[in-house]
Amino acid sequence: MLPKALWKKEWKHVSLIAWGILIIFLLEYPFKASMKIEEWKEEREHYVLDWEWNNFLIHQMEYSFTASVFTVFAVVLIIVLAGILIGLERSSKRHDFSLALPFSKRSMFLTKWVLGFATILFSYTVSFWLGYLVLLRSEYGYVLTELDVTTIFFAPLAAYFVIFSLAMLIGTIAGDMRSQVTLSFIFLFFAQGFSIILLHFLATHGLIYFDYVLPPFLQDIFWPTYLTSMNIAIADLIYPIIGGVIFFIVGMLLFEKAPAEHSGEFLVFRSLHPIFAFGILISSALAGGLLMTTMISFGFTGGINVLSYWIGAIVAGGFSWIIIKRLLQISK
Amino acid sequence: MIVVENLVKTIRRQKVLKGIDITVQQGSITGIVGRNGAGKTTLLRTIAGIINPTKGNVTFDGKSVYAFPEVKQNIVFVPDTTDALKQYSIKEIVSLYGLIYSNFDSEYFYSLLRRFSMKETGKIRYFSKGQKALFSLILAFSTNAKFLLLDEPTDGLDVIIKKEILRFIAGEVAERDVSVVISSHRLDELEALADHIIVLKDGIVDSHLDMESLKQKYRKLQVAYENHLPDGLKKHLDILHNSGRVYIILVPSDDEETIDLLQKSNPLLYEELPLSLEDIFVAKLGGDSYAS
Repeated sequence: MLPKALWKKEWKHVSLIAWGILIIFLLEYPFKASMKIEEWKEEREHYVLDWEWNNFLIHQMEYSFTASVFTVFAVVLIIVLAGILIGLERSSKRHDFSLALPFSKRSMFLTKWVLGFATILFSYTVSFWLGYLVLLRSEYGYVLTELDVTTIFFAPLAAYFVIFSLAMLIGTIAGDMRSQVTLSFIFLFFAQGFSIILLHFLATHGLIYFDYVLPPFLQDIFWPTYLTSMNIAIADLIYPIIGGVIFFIVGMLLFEKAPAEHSGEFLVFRSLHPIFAFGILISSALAGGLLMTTMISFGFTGGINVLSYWIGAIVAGGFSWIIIKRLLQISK
Repeated sequence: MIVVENLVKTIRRQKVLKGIDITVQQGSITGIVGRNGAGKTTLLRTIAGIINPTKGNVTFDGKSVYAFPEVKQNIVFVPDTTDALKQYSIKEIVSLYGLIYSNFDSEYFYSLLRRFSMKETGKIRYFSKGQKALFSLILAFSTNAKFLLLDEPTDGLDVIIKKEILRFIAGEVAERDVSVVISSHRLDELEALADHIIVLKDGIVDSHLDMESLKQKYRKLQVAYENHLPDGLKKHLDILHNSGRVYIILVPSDDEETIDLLQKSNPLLYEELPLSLEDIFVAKLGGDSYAS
């Protein structure tokens, strides 16, 4: 049983963003569903054949549950929510206050995580089913039987679960909210992004062909994919669920170990500094090389391509080195 | 009883605490003094379980504060600012503390607010700096915890509120079964308040002094000579102040030989002055940064 005092303390700081998340999900589902119904009423006259109209409706029903601009806002708010739960506290006097309380770090992390995920779960579930009800009670409700509602409901939920857990894990290693939010967005796309720039490096230097494809497991762990249920089977949700559970467990263990004396710095674990410095430098150089070859020498091959790649890599690497030094200077 | 055993804390490869061993008894006021950077705040934050030690342990009645954080029901840390609570109203703070500390006495809390003519509603961010400091202490004493750790409680406050706060702390300790550990670089404040003084110097306990016996250990003398203090005497005493031919010196009370030599050295003036804690620290630890 998690202490009531911790619930109360955490809720005080996240209540505003919790309402924000609820509003975004209400816009995403019931509001969007109402708008779609009005749209379909106007569209009806363009379809003469019933089977054409039915096909159109089935696709439209799917689209009304698919990721939209509100989904992007929801992801942003969820990452900010994790940032408020961990990062914001670390860069303020609230951190000393919290750690001096008669509660274990484990119960602190669990309260933050459960409160954060409960906010997402409640807002999403209520909004989703309200949206579903709006559609069901409309004249087009019969089309819902054509959809796999279970997958449509659980796929985005699994994505929010893994994204929130990832942001909380990043929060345990980051020293403040800015670094937590920034690193969370970076790590959301890191595995795929790094693979693309690495493969492009190999292709530019003639080590592989340019028509490379990403390994399938990288597609499985590309968490934003699950924000939409399109082309996803219910069995595929095992990847975000396993990912979320791993991030949750590692996050809890790291939260217990995080040294409070480095709170407010870029990273609280100083042993990670060389890894991050090296990682940012290499990633920036590879990204710079890719940008230069695609923008400047696109269509060229051989020497010109390699030369422009290295010019881009050196410039981007140089800039990133300056940024790395500044970032890690925060920690000195 | 709080027992600090061989506490070592390394921050950024620098040993801030280098093996601290202290015991804080129930019902006492313990002052922790030291220059800026001596490790006072780090020591208090480590005792409060905010930061984990690199080595060593802190126990309350035999239980480690790190392994059993619930013992911190009886160890309340009061930081030098109230920023952590600035978003809360007083009503919310009372409700929160009631949930955190099982012995929190809200009636006593409100009675103290009334005693100091402080507002009982609204947010504490609108309080003056002195009121905020007083509010933190009122809140801490209302938890009925056995030990309070106060980090520079009077830092930056004006003389009147400072005296009020010190009187309040002394009164609470006298009336209630509570112990207070105060870190400060203000020796004059601790002198009037503390039963024990722990002197931190470069991360180690330089001395652990009992205030009762401390002042009996030294004598402060003012002497004047026709020329200057004889060189042979200088190595046996500490010169607190020298103005021309007049010297204010500190001599161990039990060093009868030096006192005898002083009297036989034909000083033009030889008189005993009232001794303050500051004199001892200036002489024994060097500089005057303990008393600002």
